[in-house]
Amino acid sequence: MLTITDLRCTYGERTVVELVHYQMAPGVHGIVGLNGAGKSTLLNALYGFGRNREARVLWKGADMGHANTAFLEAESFFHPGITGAEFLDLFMPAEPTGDAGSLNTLLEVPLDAPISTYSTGMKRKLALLGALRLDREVLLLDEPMNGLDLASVRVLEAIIRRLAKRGRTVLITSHVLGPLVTLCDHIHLLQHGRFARDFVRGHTEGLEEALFAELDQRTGEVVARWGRE
Amino acid sequence: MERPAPARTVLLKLRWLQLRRAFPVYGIVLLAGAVVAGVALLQRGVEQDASYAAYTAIGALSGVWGLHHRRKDRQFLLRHLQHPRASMAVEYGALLLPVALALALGKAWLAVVMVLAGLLMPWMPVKQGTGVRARALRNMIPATLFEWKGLLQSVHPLGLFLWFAALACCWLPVLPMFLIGIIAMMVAGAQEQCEPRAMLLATATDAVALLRRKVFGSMRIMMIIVIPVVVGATIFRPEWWWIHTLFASGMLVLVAYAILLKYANYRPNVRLDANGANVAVAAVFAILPGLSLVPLIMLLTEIPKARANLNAYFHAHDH
Repeated sequence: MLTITDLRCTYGERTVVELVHYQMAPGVHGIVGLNGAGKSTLLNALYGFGRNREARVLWKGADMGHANTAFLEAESFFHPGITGAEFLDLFMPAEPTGDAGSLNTLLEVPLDAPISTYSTGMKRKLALLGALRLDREVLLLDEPMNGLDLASVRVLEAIIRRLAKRGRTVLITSHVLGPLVTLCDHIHLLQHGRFARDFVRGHTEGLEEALFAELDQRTGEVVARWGRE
Repeated sequence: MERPAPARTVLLKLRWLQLRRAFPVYGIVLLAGAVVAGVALLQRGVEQDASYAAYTAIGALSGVWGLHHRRKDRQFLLRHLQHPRASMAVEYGALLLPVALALALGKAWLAVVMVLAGLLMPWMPVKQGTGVRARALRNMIPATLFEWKGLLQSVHPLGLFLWFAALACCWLPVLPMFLIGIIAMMVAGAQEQCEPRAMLLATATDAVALLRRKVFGSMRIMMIIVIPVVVGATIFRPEWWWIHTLFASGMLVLVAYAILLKYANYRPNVRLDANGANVAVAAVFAILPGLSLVPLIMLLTEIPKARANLNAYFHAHDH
């Protein structure tokens, strides 16, 4: 069980994310919210990054550290001049269990080529392979589907389902609702830095309306005013 | 109405504009003064020892060769300028002119011809490699020293050529150490790029382990590079053993300093260009007799800073 207590992230005077007490069971958890809702800030805070943050994050009752967690950041950066295989060599699991390298037969990243020759999608897949190779109990995936082609999204969904079956806890953020609705056991709607509502798989009616309610209202007002001018 | 085609001096004018924006007028005057002083010094050097002329010509040619083969705007220029190769030749000519002038004043005519051959560089074929360079060498480097692999990708085969040249010229004074100094500066330069957080955290479990792994790992590779040249040079000039040893130690300290400086200022994904100035200062002290302890002191002062900075990343999970 992942337990988050007294999590607070601020940018200057503004509180971006605030969770008093929240628990997440093993499985796949989707975090949805509009731009600026605090999705990436939340994942960064869970991993312990971000200067203005306070949080107590427990995994199975003990402090959750980097040893339990793998984090795929929203943007993929790599050291220049190295190859994909050299990048993956760094990410050795504590125990040689599931071979994440074999997943590359599906993702088809040219590991022997310099990363500088990769497309955006290939870089994303490589970063994902690195995070998967660590074989950690908690996976924080920030916009993992960004830049991926349809086939890779499908492979990623299968991988995440398999991880959930192996008892892993996966937190995914995305601004695309479709894949999350089919993939996640729970979907948490993040609004104004708080979890406004939770949805369970198969009962996601009203998710889209809840997500876009404020935006639709504002859009309606602005568009109506614009039409009159 | 058609716009007139840019003249062959277009790149030169562009560089002048960049210089004007980068420096105030007094800075440009100082720079011009430094170039004039450099020409005078080089002329005197060539007059005193003719062998300097060949070194200088080869160095200048190599510099322009590297510049031409690595310039990122090459394809752009070829596509959009009416006289791309002539424009590049004019640009290289401006760079080579002070060197050629110094050599001409020193009456080293063969070297002048060699330097001026650099003007033909834009007409030579450029191999735009996308493959992996020095695969066998990089396989021998541990995964955690990825900076070395990145370095090989950018400087191979020039780096290997410099090392073989240093070995082959062990019978000459100064030159082998000079070449080792260039290699050390390349290695130090490779430490300017900060890796992403994921790579940092995958390298080691804490700051001390990371610094040990990086510094001692790089020292090991540097010793493999430096020791054969030092031994070779000392065989030919046994009386200089202490100069060679001091210089080699200075280069090792320089690389260790560059690594510590990087982690003292580490920010994910950022290129720490400003570190180059500090490393250059350390390099000057490392080669000045009697002042070689200065880089060591600089290195020691960076250790606590590097540990403190890295701790912020490694202990970030202590919620």
